[in-house]
Amino acid sequence: MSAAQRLLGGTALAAVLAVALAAPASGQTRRVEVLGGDRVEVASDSGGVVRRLTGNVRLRQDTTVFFADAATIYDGRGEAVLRGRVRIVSGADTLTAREVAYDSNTRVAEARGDVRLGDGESVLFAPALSFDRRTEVSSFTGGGRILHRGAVLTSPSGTYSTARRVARLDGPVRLEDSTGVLTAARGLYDARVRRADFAGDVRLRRPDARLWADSVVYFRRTERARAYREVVLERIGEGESTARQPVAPADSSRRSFLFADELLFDGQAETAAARGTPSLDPLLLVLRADSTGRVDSTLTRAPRIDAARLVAGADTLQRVAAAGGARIWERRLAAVADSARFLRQPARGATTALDRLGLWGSTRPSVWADGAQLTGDSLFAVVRGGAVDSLRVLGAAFAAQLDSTLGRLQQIAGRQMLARFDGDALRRLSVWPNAQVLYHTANDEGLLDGVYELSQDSLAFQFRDGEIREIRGYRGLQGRAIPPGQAPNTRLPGFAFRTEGAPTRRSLLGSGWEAAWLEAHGPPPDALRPAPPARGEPPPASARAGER
Amino acid sequence: MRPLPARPSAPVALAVALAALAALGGCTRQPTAGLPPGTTVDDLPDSESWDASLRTSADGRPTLAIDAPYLARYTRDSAYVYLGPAPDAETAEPVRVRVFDAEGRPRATVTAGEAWVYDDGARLLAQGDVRTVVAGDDGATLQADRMTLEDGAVAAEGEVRASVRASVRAGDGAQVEAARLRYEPDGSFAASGGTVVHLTGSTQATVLARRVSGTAGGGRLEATGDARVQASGGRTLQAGRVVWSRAAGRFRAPGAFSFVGPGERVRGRGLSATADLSRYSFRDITGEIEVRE
Repeated sequence: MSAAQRLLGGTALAAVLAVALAAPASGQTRRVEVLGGDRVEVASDSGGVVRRLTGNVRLRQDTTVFFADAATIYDGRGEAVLRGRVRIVSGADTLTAREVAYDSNTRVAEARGDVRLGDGESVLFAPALSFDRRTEVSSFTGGGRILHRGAVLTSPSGTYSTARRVARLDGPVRLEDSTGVLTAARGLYDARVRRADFAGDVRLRRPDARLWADSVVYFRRTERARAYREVVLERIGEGESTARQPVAPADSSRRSFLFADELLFDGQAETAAARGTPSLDPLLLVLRADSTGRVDSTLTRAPRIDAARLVAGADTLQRVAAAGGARIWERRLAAVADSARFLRQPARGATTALDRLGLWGSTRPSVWADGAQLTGDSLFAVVRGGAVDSLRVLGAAFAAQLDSTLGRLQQIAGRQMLARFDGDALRRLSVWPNAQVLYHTANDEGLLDGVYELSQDSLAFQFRDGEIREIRGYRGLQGRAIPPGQAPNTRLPGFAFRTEGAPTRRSLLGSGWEAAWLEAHGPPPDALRPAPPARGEPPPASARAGER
Repeated sequence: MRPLPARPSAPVALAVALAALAALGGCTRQPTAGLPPGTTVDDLPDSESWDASLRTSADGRPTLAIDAPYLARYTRDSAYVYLGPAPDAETAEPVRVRVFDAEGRPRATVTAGEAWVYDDGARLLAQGDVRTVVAGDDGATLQADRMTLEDGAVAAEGEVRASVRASVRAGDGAQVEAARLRYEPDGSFAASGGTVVHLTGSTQATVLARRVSGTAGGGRLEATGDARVQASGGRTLQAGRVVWSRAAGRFRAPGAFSFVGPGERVRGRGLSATADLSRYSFRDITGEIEVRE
């Protein structure tokens, strides 16, 4: 298609009428070759010459050919009307309609009745279409449908600029192609770059994702969408299936919602980058149902949240990176960190799902798990099959647990820490090197009985039912017992204790537009509540850490 | 005296009882000795008259009234009368012939340089700047080098110019130019040989064709053989056959045609057009038109 003549990413098809029935300047005449017509009537009076051609009318002007059952040319009035099976062909451009009328005075051509405007690459269907030569804009009403390079755009009315090759569609507008469906209250479509600028109650539905926004800029070629204002991206499933489906499976066991003020979604790379406002950070909500139907939720809020799906061999990994001050909550643990990275490897065959959480930052990250707060230069958690498997703290590792009876902090410090869990319950905690412990004991009255300070090259604590059952040390053991009256307010190296406590579901979810959206569009409210602990399970970390 | 034209082929129905060349005016003379070289006595007329008047009648009704500067009567193989300038006359008045219809009413007046009357007046051959005026509202005026009047019909040849009129009051009519033209008693005519017909009166158009036939006053014309119609505004119709009907006020070209007009050049079949070719209809169009922006 010649770039100057394309209509919808293709030829300037709307210009057919202009080229065919009118000259470039007013007052001029153009020669029309009559190729055929069964019947002709020509009348000439004070109003000028009126030519009526009927039956298999064929006209040609330059490279444009007209076909119609009838044609009436009002030479004096500068009008021409083609009726009945009208077809206008100019190169690859074709306009068909039941009637086409052109007024050279207004330079407006009106096409009515099953209008079809195509250029070999794109086609516009509409009951009626109007083309203004001066502005080179076509307008359609009564419901238009544009087929362009594998996409179908529909809207009740709209315009198309031949010069700019941009369609302005009045809503509700719908864009559908093999990758999904985009709907909105109104929109623009730039055929040259296959770009859609849709606004007002925007929805993008893809086989593996759905997106809501106030406005969106969507590039069909790259499948990239930049969405603005109250953006919600929902991903369904684990991402292991690459099959394209028009609608995501509703019974998927895993759904994630990414809320943002601005979001860049890349459908091909399967990435999403979310940004918030100065007052509200993006929020990631992940819902996961187990085999019993219980739904666990994970919330992450951070100024910047980037999500991606990575293909690693036969596996598809999900990666979420939160930066700028991440706050995370889920049933078994909560965390804060400058930066967080979550990597999920879905279950595959006999292999259970594997989740990895890494926390970093100059503001040392902290994790609340099983009633304790762990802080370090960096922390790494591993969850297997939905249960916490291990938690590793690197660099100035510090663990604290508030003894609510004594009002004292039990402290453990060391260079590194490794906590092993069994069924989400802490089973073993290893600290090395330079392991230090500050442990407060209570008497039968619940009063402070004494303080034990213990240091060794490495220490290992065995837990059962949340209580320390055994402590093992290795090399360089030092320790002392301090009477209650002399108990100091000692802080071990790397001491960190956030008095504001762990992030909670409520504090992260808030009560803003995201909660309202979830009420209107999201999963049932039960899915957002923390799942009750199974028999023998400890209460959620947030419950112990002081959920608000 | 001029050489005699060929003998007419058919006797005349008028059955004029030329019982007499009734009234012969002027004087007569007998052939004299001293004939011109190459001339025999047999070549001489049986009788001659100068400033002659000849009247013929049938059933008591006049058929011809002839006035001629010279009359010569021959009664050899076929009897005929020569009318024209006297021998040796350098100038002479034209022969004037008044023709009457079957009711004895004046029908036409013929003036010519010479004339021959055959079959007792049933056939008249005029030659030399012949002018015939047919009387009546649908009459005609014909000019030609040579004309033959027979059975009320006029056959003209050589530089024929004819003017037929449909209505004196309306002024409608037609002027015909052709190499040959035959004018029938009912007013119809047929012209051939580079025929040009100028429609006059309320209709202004020119028809050109190899052959044109028409009814009295040119109310209906049929032009065949490379027929062309030229109307005002530079509109031209060309076809193998064109029919003009004054009653319908339309030209028709039943077969293929081409038409050239202001901003249009089209072809087709079955044309029906107004007299000025400004409005028309036809089928199977091809061609070019110009549309105004």
